[in-house]
Amino acid sequence: MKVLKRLRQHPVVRKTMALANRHKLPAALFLAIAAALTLTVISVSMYYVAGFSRYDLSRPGYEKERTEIAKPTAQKEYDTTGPVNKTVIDSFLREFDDRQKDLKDYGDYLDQSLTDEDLLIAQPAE
Amino acid sequence: MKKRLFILFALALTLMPGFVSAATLAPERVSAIRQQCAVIQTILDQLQRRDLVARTNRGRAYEAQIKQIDALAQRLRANDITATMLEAPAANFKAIVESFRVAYVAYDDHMTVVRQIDCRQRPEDFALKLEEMKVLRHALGIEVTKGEEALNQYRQAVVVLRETIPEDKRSGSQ
Repeated sequence: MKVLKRLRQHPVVRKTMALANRHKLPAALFLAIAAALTLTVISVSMYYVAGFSRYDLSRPGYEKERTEIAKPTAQKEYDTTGPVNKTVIDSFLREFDDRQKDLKDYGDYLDQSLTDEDLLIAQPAE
Repeated sequence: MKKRLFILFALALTLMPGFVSAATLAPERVSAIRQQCAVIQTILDQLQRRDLVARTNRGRAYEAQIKQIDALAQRLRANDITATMLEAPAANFKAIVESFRVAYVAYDDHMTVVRQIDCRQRPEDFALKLEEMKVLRHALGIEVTKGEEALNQYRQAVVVLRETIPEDKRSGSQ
């Protein structure tokens, strides 16, 4: 409280408050814009610093990659409270198998994409 | 923490005596890297993009599987059915998905480092980092394989559970 009191007595703060009292609307607009800018700077910094930007396919230059993203097939909403019987388990397994089949279509990183031949460092033996 | 462990693992492997074979820094190879630098960088850029698409698709599919697994667990609980045999494989799969995420970040970070090396000026550094990247990519592939195995184990456990459930088993609330 003491600090706030002292701060209010500071000539710069007093001048600013007097100015804001005289021009209430412009002061409010300025504050709103400043707050929006600050929040934007913080969020954009977090987006880059935390590395999220690198995994974001909605960036410009990734148009082709965006088309390769699998369209999510309508996932059957599994009722969490209904009865349990063999038919229910069978239906679960069918859905489960479909998802597992989808997984096989995606890259597994076990391909030899980094061999000298693939990187054209070495010519394949003829 | 996990990411650091992954990088340490890769570095330990690459620093192991004999791992960095003489072939890695063979003069002909270093010279080929210098000459083909632009082409290699283009190929790595395409690979990084392709891997990102695979990561996105795989990540979504894993999330969908986890959602299904959790829904079944909840439904079994709601029906007072104890399914302890499902707990371990489900937890195992979730742990592997987490490891996969960590492994991908480690691999992708390394790919970015490799791509930032000027292979015309520093082909030896490039060659060494490329070897590390291969190890990280392989580690990522192993996580994918583990994930597949964990899902198979979970499926098997569900099949075993199915046999214990009578055809007309109904919820107590019904």
